[in-house]
Amino acid sequence: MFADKMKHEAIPERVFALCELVKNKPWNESDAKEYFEPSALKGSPYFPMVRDAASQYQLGLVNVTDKKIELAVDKSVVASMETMRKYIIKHISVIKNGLFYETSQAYFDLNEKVYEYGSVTEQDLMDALQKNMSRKLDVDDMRAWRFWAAYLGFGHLARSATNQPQMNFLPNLYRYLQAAIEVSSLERGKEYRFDDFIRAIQLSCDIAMKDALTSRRLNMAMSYGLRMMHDNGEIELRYQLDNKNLWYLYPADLHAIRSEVSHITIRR
Amino acid sequence: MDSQVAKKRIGDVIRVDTITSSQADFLATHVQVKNIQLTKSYDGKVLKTLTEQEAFTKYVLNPKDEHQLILVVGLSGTGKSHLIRWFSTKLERDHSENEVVLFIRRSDNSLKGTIKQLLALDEVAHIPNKEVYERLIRATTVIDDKKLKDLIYQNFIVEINNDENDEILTRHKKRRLIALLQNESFQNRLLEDDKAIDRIYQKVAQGKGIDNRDVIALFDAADFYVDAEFCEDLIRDEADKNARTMATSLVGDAELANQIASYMNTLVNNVIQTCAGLEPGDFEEVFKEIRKELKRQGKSLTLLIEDITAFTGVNVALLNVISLPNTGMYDDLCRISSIIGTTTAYFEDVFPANYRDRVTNYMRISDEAFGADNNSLYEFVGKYLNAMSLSTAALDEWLEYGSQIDQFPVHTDKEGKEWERVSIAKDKSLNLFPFTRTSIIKLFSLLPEHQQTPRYLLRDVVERVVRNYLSAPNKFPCLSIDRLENYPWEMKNQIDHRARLMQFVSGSEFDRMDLFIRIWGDANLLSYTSEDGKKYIGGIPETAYKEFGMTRIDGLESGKAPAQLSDGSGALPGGLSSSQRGAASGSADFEKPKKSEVNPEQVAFQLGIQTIYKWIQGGSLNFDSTKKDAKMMQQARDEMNRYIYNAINWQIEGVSVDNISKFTSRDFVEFERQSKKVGKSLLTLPANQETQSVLEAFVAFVTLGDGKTWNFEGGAWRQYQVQLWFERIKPQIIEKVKTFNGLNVDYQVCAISAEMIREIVFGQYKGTTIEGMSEPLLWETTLKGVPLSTAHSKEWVSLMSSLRENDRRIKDTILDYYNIVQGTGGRNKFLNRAALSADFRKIRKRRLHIDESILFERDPFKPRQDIRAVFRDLYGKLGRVSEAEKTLAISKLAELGKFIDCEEIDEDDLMELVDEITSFYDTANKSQVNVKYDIAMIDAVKKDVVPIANAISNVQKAVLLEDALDILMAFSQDPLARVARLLELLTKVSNDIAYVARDVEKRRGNLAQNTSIGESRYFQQNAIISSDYEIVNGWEA
Repeated sequence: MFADKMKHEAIPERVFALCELVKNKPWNESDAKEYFEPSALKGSPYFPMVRDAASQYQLGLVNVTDKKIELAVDKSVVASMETMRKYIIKHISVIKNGLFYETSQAYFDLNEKVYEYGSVTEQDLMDALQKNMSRKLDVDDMRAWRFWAAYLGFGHLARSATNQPQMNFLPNLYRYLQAAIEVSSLERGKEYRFDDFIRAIQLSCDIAMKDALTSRRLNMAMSYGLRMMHDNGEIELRYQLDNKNLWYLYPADLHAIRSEVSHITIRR
Repeated sequence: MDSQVAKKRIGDVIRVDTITSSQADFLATHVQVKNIQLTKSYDGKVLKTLTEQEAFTKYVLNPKDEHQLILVVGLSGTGKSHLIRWFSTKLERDHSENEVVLFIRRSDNSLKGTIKQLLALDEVAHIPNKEVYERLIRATTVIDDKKLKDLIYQNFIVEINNDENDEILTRHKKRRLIALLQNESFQNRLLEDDKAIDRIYQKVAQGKGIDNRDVIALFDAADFYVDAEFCEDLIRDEADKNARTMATSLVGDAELANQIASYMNTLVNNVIQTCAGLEPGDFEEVFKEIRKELKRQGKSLTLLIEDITAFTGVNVALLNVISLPNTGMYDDLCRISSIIGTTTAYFEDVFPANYRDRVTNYMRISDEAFGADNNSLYEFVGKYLNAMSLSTAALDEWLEYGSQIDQFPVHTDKEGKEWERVSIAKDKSLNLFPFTRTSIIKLFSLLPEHQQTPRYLLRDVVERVVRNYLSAPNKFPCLSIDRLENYPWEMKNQIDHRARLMQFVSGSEFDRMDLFIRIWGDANLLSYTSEDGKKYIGGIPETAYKEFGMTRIDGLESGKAPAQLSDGSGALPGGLSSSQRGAASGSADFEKPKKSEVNPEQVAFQLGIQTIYKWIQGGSLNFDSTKKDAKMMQQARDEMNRYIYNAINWQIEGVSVDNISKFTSRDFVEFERQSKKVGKSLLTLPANQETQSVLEAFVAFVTLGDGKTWNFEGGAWRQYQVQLWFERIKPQIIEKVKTFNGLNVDYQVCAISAEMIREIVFGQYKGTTIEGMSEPLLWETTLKGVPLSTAHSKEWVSLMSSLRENDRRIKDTILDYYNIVQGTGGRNKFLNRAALSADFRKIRKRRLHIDESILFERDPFKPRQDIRAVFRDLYGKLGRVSEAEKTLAISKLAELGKFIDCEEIDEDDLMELVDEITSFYDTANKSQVNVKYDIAMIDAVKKDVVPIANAISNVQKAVLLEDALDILMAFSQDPLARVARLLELLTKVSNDIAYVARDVEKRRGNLAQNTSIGESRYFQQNAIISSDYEIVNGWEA
């Protein structure tokens, strides 16, 4: 899922289920497979993809050695889907070289242009993404991408049109940022220069900040995510006139923070 | 404005009746009428367009000293009265020595009021015909309201009775009409307020009706419309036959109603005169007397009548006398110049056709009452605002010194010192506080088209707004404006200005700023700083916001001046945009609500915005596929629900896809004050700004985005608003799906429990304790049919049938509920074992029990409730089934007890029994007794002696059990079937022994009759049989 190809069978819930199973003791692969995909139910072909996504070669949540699967992280990491999400966000760089990471960066870079496409599997969208990617992308990859994108907090899934099966994805990093800030070293109630803030979340948020460090411009998904946190009182964005360390949010003329931002305070 | 003065003066200054305001107030608020159209005939070509001054000089002043009858015609409220009063005021100063000016005010617009004015005139008081004079006096006598109405009504009947003219109505019809008018029910209808009699009454009685200027005292066809129900009432009340006939004829016959109304109108004048105590000719006589008297004195007469309807009832008489020239046979009359005001409607409907030719000139006041430029409109408002901020003394002084414009008093500003002003003369400008030019134009244009006249501008705009300000300056403006949706917020370049305002303010502060910026300003938040450093937001100076104590907001830098500052007009700061200013070249061109360009999506979007606005203002929200606006709301709501459904990652939020798929309506949200299907959704959205924004966003999605995309101007921002709202309501929605009536969703628990019962009842679970049941049974067991043969009770079999009916649904529910699916699911299963195990353990621990009180709660999701109902039904049967099974078992054990001692019976005992049975049959056969040896039956017992012994033992234990579930599990493997097998064998053997005994007895009888040899043999055989008997008896013991 997080290597060269994305596998839509390896959805987050199944990866979590596997981690939860092995959190107390290692399991034989075959037993684990039977556990989730009983042969009495004619079995299913998903298990290997789920195992691979969780393995040391991708998310690093479990170790798979000699047909045995054991938890590779602290038990608290897999206490819930949410704790696992935060862990993955904190360690998102482990999949930095994978297709998922590259696709996500390209998707965020499209900004409002994503609204031009009917669904994530639309060929025109994939063509647009491919312009900024080195790896090849196909429909199955995008089908898989949307599940993890929704889980990690990249935005919302939406039906592309009434009675149409295709799904669209509406980017907004609100939930992702919430977690990224939480797992960062940022203190509550303290005002940070925006430079410092970006540095603190850089590792987690690099996936959504391609080229941002040089341009000092945040894409639409990041910008709206920050604005949403601001509007909900979770953070406070501020623009100080003549500040030399200005950053630029994706413009939203109707928002109190239209673009320039210089400081941020984490409220809660 | 000086609000301290204005609070006291507003009532006096804003008197819409021009006559009752003081002369000083009248002149101080007078705005020149500029476009008086002069015609020779009513429909004729406009000969000239005059200013009021020109009209006065050339016609009213009558420089040629000619007989003339001028009608001043205009729509109600356009300022006819004001103009005639102004003529009167001017004439008072400028008329020649020999000219007598008679000014008949409209007063309260009644005949009595008019007569009173006439009586106050010297010229009338001294007429020689004292008899007529006294009748005039009597005509002003006050009569009780009710009596006067009845009098009017009865006089119509009298008039019809005495009318011999059958041209309009035949005699028969008149007779029937009288009968109908005499009917009490019909009379009550016509006497109701606003019906014909009431209208006529208002024109006769003095001081009735607050604003009856537009009322014409005539019958209307609608006064005679009756329906079938009314006719039935007449029949029920046994009304006069003629009345019933007329009423029946009137049902659905608009033409007859119209005919009757026309006929009745021919009688109105006579009735009014009679009711006023006047005789035909009295009025004409009075005016003739006046003219004669003036002729004798060598004088001429100028008669100014504000409104001819003040003469209702005597108008023909009036026209008769004023249309007579002072020549020929009338040379004893003085020259008369009459200027009479009339509404367009009155002239067209009532003014006698044969008098139209006698009119010498028509002065038409156009609908464009404020002339050729907006300044008249501003001046009009400015003068009233100024007058109410000035003391009476200041204005009286100005009047006293000739009321010259160069001395026009201007109040000292106490509020709005830096406000917009309107220039009325050199060095004279008036403060427009609390209006802006823009607000004057917009509020005026929002008046209904027929009310865009000075009267309504004054009453519904100036007075209303000023009083609103005076009552609560810090809440100003706080008033409801009809058709406000015609001035929506600007939406340009992806900028929704209203949404930005919502970033800063909410609640009542939003409401007033919303109104202020849209009506007082340019309906946007564009900011601009002028060269002199003044900042404007939405075309309104920032100081204006401060003046009303409004929250400080940041505008959107536009970089260019608002239209009113850049159009080179050199105007004072204000909110009038160039388009409005350009359009404001005449009141007819006042900017009407902007119509969208022909872009169907935008038109639809605007319709949606208006519909939502009306809802927010207190209306209801309708969803209907047949009406355009309601259909759009329905689409928007459906899209909201669809958005919620797709945007929530249900599995990750702990909601099984099976669970959410059972919410078939997917009506997640409904709205406060929605008209139908209230209470059917999970969440009711309040009618507040947030909902308004979100609903508008979805209207934009279905209109501008065609229900497919957010890719339209402003789409990203609207999508952001949706996401912001969605994240806030998401937890509530999830909670509502996970629970109902305060309980956790439990249909999956019911399904597992039902499946466990099925496994027990069908004997698929071999264990005898609930603790022994395990999860894999849920998918490892196959579904079985009800067995054709069984030893279970019929209640048990019935329960099997019930289970069979729903077994597939139950099993699928379990496997679907605990399946971790991708997307909307598929056939393959990847089980959520953690959740399944947790639920399974709980079920086992509770021994399938769920409190009845919980089971009787109704789950609002029907498919979930259906599963619960299945379990509730099954669970309710368990007690009865277990008891029936136990009763059956007890009876079987009793039967068995007749043959064998079951106590502690084991397989050896059974084996011995089988051997003895075999021996019996061997012996019987050897003795040639004809009993059938059923090897199969014996073998069936012989090969299963162990299970049969166990079954007997288990049944013996089972009948001692009390718990239904324990009993079910005890009988789960159908032990009675084995017991029955043994019982069957024993019953057969018992019957065969009885047969053998009978056979032996028979044979003995035969032997007793034989020889001693035979005797000897008999004894031998008898001994053998006795021995066999002992054996068999030994079994029974």
